Amino acid sequence: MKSYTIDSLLSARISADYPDRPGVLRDVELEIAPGEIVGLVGESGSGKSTLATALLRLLESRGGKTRGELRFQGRNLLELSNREMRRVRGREIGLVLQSPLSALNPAMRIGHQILESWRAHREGSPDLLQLLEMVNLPPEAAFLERYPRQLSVGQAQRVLIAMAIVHRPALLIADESTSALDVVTQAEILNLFSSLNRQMGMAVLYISHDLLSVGSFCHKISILQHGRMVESNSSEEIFRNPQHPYTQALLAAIPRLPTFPRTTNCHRVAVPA
Amino acid sequence: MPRWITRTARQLASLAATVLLGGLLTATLVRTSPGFDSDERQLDPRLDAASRALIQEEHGANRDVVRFYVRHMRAMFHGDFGVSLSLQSPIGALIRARLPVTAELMGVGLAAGWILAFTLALAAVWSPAWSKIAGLLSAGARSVPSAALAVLVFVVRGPMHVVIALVLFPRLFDYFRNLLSDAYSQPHILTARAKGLHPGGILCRHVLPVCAPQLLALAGVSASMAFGAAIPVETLGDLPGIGQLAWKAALSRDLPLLVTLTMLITLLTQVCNTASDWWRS
Amino acid sequence: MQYGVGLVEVMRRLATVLAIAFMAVMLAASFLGGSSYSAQHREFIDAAPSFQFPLGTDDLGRDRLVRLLHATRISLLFAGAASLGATLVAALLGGIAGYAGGWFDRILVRVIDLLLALPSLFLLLATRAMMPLNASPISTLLVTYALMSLMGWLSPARVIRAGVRNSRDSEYVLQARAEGCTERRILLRHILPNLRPIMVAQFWTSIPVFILTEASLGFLGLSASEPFPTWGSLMRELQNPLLAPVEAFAPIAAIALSVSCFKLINPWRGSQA
Repeated sequence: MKSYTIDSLLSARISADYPDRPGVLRDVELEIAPGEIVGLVGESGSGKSTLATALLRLLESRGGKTRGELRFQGRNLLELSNREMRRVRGREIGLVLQSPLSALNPAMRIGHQILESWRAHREGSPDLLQLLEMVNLPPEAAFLERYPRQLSVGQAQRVLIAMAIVHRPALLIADESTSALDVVTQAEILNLFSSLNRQMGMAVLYISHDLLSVGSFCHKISILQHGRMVESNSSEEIFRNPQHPYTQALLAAIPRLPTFPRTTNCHRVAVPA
Repeated sequence: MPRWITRTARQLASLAATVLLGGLLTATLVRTSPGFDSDERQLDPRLDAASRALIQEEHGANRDVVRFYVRHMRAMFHGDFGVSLSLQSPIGALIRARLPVTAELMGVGLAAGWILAFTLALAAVWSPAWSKIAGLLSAGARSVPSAALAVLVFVVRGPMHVVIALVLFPRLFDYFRNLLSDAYSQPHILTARAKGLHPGGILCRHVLPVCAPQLLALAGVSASMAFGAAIPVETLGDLPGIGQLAWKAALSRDLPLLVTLTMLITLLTQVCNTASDWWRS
Repeated sequence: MQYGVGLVEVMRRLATVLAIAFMAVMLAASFLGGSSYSAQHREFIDAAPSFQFPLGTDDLGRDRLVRLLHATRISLLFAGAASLGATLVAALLGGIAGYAGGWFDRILVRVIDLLLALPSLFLLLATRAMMPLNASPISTLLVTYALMSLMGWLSPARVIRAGVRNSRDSEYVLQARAEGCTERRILLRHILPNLRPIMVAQFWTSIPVFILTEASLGFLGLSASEPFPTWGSLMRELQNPLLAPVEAFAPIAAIALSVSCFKLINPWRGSQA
């Protein structure tokens, strides 16, 4: 393992297994500096979501096992007790999942759910309206009274982000947070991540299958294939100078603007008058 | 307001229909089975001709199902359940005397069974080790007939309520475990965990509210199972309850008593069903 | 994790072996001397286990082991027959209801719900007890299992109805209809083959239910009358468990073993079908 500086926010080298699927993650190395936005790209089944849950040690609740080393702010998270780990979750590392409408409890009002995120670690209540404003949601008390089914997908995603940043965590893990959104809403959410990163100095680990969206706002990109990290570099280097054949294949698969086909080989059919 | 009334009315109507059907079905089955008309007491040489004629007449009165049934229903509305032929005492009094014993057996057994099944199901979902242990216990309790469980508990001189709990436990456990396992794999539970919430808080605020209706759906079914198990339990333990009464009635082929008991049990289980349906909606 | 998977497999194999051993016992019973299960050895009443009587004799001087072997044959065969009958009735009624829908379906669902609400053991007691004392033993045996079969078709019918409905409304049937297949062909080629595994599963899981129900009936003295030995009627000895010798508990072990076998083998069969 490379010797990381003390400044590193998160440095990990982990392997993970499920009982029926060994080797979901194999010696995956990840390093995130404070305030850095790191993108993690891989296809379905590459182990991206497993990595997100493994970093928060939530894999055990799904029957999996995490091995290796996981240093966050100088502490090895794999050695913490359950109670200590619970204090890390939500307060120092936040998680935003995809499909926001199922990641919210359908029977609880969203104001209540955000409050619950706060109360998990602190007393009292936060400034909810200011929080709503930070994530570009209407800062009204009436909005807090709504149920998840009364929100649009984009709004629900923002609520999830609000719940995750309520304690100003040092790291935010966004697991396919924009995969369920249309292109325009996706761009808005990515802008939101960028602005939160600038305002709060919060590091972001952005996990996605879409290399293009990742490249647009991440400082550093890591590529995951079949549970292994195959390449990790700055965004510019990845796009200009991809080293690994898989990275090159990903880049080649990015759709470009369509080139309109020329009709030289097609015989014009005479249309009867 | 009207919708609430019509819904309750509909549930009560189906309740009444079930009970009536139960009684009618039993009477019909009894009527069409062989040996309905005969009674070995008629062969008893110790009885004189007058007594034998009386027995013959008693059975003759029971022969017409409709007449018997109508007579029976009319009597019931007046609080008279008829007289038990074999035990020579009013059925209503018999039931009233024996109901508390069965109620206590059922109550404790049902409560213990539910608590045991739910606790183990939760443990099974939280920990794979407990999942295996509880699974084995459940499989073990399931493969032994309720009569055998009663015998085994009796031999070690344990309380008979345990038998009811053990009979209910495997079926309830399987259902609860599936239910809880589904509930815990929902994405919003992962979010709750990622927030760092306490497991107890997650259980009370996120899992139970979602599961509660489906949990309650088993109320009537478990009551029905418990009553079924009561018969061998009370017979073996010599507990003077409804189950033992049913067994005695079956042995002495006492038609009025059996019909009444069947209707009573059906009524009780249907009340449970209706109550849980009403609470769920 | 690998070890855990292996253990389950080993247990499955063991269960299969036990099941086969059971079948062998069944056959052996028929060669161990025809009606000796009713033979009363008056010099050996309530005898302790010995070489001549490995499980001792009961209070009428009958060999317990011979009775247990014959009871195995009778209980297993009749439970199988009752299960077959119940499954066929369930398949017929549930199948028609699921396929045709309409008024038949509505009425059947109502009837099943109402009948299922009745306490089964009470009904069994009532109807079984109404048989006169001078009924022949064979008729009591037949009637007992016929009654259980008549009450046992209700739950399988619901499952089969659901299965047929699923098939009927499925994409592959839609595809077949779009291709212009006749209803008869759809029924024979698409719906019935998918019904088969459900029926096999219901048949297999009903057998242990009938074994257990007959056991409870027999304990109460209301199963097949003397001298026919069934597992349940052998349990009549246990009505005074404190007075019964240990050998009298053998039927319980036999029941537990057979039911466990049926439960363990089932999933294996399911993967084969």
